[in-house]
Amino acid sequence: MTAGAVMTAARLRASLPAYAFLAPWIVGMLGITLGPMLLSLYYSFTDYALLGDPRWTGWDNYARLLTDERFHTSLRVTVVYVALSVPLELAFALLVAVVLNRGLRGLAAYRAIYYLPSLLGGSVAVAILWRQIFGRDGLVNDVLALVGVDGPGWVSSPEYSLLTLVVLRVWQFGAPMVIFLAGLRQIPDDVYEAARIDGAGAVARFVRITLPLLSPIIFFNLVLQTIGAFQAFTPAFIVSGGTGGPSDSTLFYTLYLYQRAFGSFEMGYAAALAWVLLLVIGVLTGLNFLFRRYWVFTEDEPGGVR
Amino acid sequence: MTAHVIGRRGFLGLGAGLLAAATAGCGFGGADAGLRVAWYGGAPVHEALDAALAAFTAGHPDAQLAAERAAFGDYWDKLATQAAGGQAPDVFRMSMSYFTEYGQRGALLDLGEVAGSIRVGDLDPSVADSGTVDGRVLGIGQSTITHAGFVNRTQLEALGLEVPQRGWTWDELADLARSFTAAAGDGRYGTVDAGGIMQIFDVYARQHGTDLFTADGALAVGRDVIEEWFTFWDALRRDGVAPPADVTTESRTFETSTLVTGRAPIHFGWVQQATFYQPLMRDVLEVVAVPAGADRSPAGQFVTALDFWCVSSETGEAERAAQLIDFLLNDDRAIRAVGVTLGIPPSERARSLLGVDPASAAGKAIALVDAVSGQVGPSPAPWPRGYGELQETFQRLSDEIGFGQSDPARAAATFADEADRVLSS
Amino acid sequence: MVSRRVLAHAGLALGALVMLYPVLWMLASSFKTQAEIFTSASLVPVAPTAANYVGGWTGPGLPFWVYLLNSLLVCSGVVIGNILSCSLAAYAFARMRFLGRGPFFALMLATIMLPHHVTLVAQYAIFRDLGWIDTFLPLVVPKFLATDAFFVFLMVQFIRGLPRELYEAARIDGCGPFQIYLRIVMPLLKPALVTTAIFSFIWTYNDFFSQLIYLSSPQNLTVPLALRSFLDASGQSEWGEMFAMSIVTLVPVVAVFVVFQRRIVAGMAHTGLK
Repeated sequence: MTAGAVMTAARLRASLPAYAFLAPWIVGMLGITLGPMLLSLYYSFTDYALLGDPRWTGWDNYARLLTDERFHTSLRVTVVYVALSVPLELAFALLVAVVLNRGLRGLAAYRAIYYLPSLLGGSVAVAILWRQIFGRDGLVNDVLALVGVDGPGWVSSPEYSLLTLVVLRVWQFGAPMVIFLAGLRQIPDDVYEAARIDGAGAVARFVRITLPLLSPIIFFNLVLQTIGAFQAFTPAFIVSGGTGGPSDSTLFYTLYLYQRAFGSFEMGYAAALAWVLLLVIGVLTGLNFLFRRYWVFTEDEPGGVR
Repeated sequence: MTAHVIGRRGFLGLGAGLLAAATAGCGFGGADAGLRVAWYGGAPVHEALDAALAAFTAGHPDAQLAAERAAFGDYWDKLATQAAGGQAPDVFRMSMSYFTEYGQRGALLDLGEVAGSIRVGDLDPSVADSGTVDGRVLGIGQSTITHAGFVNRTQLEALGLEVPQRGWTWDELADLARSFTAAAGDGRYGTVDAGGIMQIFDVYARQHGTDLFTADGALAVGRDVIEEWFTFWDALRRDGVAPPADVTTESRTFETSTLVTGRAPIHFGWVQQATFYQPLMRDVLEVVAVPAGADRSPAGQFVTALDFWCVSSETGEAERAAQLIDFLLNDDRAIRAVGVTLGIPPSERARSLLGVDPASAAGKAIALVDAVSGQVGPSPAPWPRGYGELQETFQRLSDEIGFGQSDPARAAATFADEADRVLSS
Repeated sequence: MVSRRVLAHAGLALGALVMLYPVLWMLASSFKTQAEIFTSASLVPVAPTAANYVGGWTGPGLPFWVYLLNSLLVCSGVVIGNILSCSLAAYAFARMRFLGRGPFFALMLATIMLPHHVTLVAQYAIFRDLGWIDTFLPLVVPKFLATDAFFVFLMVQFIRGLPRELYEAARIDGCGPFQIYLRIVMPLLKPALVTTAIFSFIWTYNDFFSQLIYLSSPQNLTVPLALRSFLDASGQSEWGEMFAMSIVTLVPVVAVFVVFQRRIVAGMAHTGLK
């Protein structure tokens, strides 16, 4: 046995307790998750109409991406959506979480109320609601009419429809807010006490204590909300009735993928789309992890903020 | 690599202990379902078909039926997944939009092999034929449809305008809509913008000599005709006679349509939709033919089946399935239970059996079908694969013209190119 | 100081109004007739009717409580599964050294980067071979196998935020990894566990696509499927009943949120992290 093999064997043995903890995860990965993932990678190199058998076509699906204008549209729409909605949503969620964290009466009620829009999720009711608010005769235009402005149908104009979906996401900021709240709970009170005794004001406490100590949670929300926003499907699906309209202005990436897979029975092409998306998100997530060491504080790394 | 390999690995991975523990819980056991029958629709459809199936079970005590239902949009995702997994229901409702896709992929049983037990003698001939592809009976029509114009009588008459008669022309539509717009004032329009509705354009195309598609599924209609159609609607839009594009794109469901919200007195669609619009309106709705060409003939329209009953090619109970379909089409109890929930009943006998009140929306719809039946042109072949996608493309291109992002000539060219690409793949 | 507090309350209240509006609107719509829902944006019904609640609760098909019960069953299973399996995996990823840690973690994150539409058919085939179609198992069992990477990652971040001295102390006291997990990590992880419980519950409760695919028999349907059965894009919809039952279905989730989020807030104070 070589020295390397001995070392590997030793490390394997040392890894056994961890593998025990990971046992359910490993079973799930091998049994349920990994197979279908690899299969979809295979489909991306085939012509697969769902009802028939897949037929190997090599790189054809990926080549088609280059000339598919609706794919380019969907990518553009999605990137704009992610770039606008994720920072806004996170900033909003963090702000509200800090305000709702402590100090005022009736916070529990506020927390519940602020979470309500997120409870509605992708309910079909939201589609009608959005039209009642942002439609041609909606609330927004009623208000604008008071100041003499004749507004367009915001959900139904290609210039603005995507913005209303950004508003929708920001409005449903409850999930990151709850996670921030949970994170804030992990920061011991005495840290704040000490700062207060040192004479630090509210802003200074937020910048010097809350932000660094919450940074792992901010990081988590940033990574996951980015991934989630790239895969946003339901809002566009329900608000546009599944078309991505008007004139493709809300054609989210996964909505287009879904149309290809289930509307046109092009599962092979849809799989190629999916793997390109995985690549895009993967690179972005990788960058996020790479830059993490510059701003995310963990107990693992000594020399962080203290 | 096949899904089966993965499946077995999954089975091993999960472990029998977990399986046993999990299945012990309440509500967690699977059962052999018997004959699985699936359909799409809303509450009235569910209630009607439940009653019809109950009547069948009463007559066949040995038959075990399991109903699976979903709303239209959801249904297709589920059916595609089930079919891909070899788990399609035995009998299912099929729309013309997906019929060819499923038929050509071999998912539908040739009912010709078991058809002895399905009597189609009573069906309207064009409906009976519409499920036949290359001599194979892949589906049995469950309703009769034709194109229709829906007109708000109350609104027109309030302004001293007359409800159009069958045989009206596109020019008369434009004139009537202009008169209405002039008289009605702000925020109201003379007609819905039907420029994006490919199925109404189909009528227009046939009035110009071709179907939309050839029998072997290529684009038949010329670019010039498409451009002419887009131009017709663009002019109405520009003059404020048809609504601007942002209004049109936010009124695409029954409930939000310009007809229901009272913004426009004229609308187009499939004839049975009168029964969806009327309950949402206080005004009186009339059902008329789609405008004709200069010859005033309804030959541009056709009568066909929009929905079918189909049987899965993998069913183990073909005969029972056929028996059920026969029952749904021909048995008086089933006909009464189904009523007009699936559309206009596909046979003269069923229509007279129901004795629908001629003043009701359903009665008016039936009257139009009966009136045009003898005069319409031949039905086109079943819609080609990709029809649904092209329908959406057509609508999108029309929207783009409305939003000023395109013009009729460019949109027509784009549609023709897209059609070539979609239909050849 | 007082004026500042009043200002804060005023701001929060205004925000609350914006957040509450949709639910008030749904509530109002649930008492409206079909025709009024689409023709009036008013929050006060012209002629309030409870018919939507009666009609929605009794049909179509089975009484609505069947769907509520099914949803509660599925959600409970998912909550338990996620809390158990994800915390185990998270502890390993956050605090243990082992061969393949980096690649495993990347692989786990990759699973949530791939749109599920393209893995659906293969996954369906697995559950078909297991004979689990039209049961709750495909919805619940995977959650016992830590397939929800979101929650594993969430807990990893929280575990890493715990003071390192605690582990050292426990290790010196002779605790093995499992005892540390059980006695130290789990109690301190309460805010994250409660967050996981809330989200698992609510997201499953609202998740419609996988329930649509895997559940078929009327007696197995869940709330989101039942709500959609009131609507039909190709025909007649019962919007009023849909809104009425949407309001009814909000009750359990709001209750779950209110009860559990109290636990998040209470979490630290009682575990005595000093």
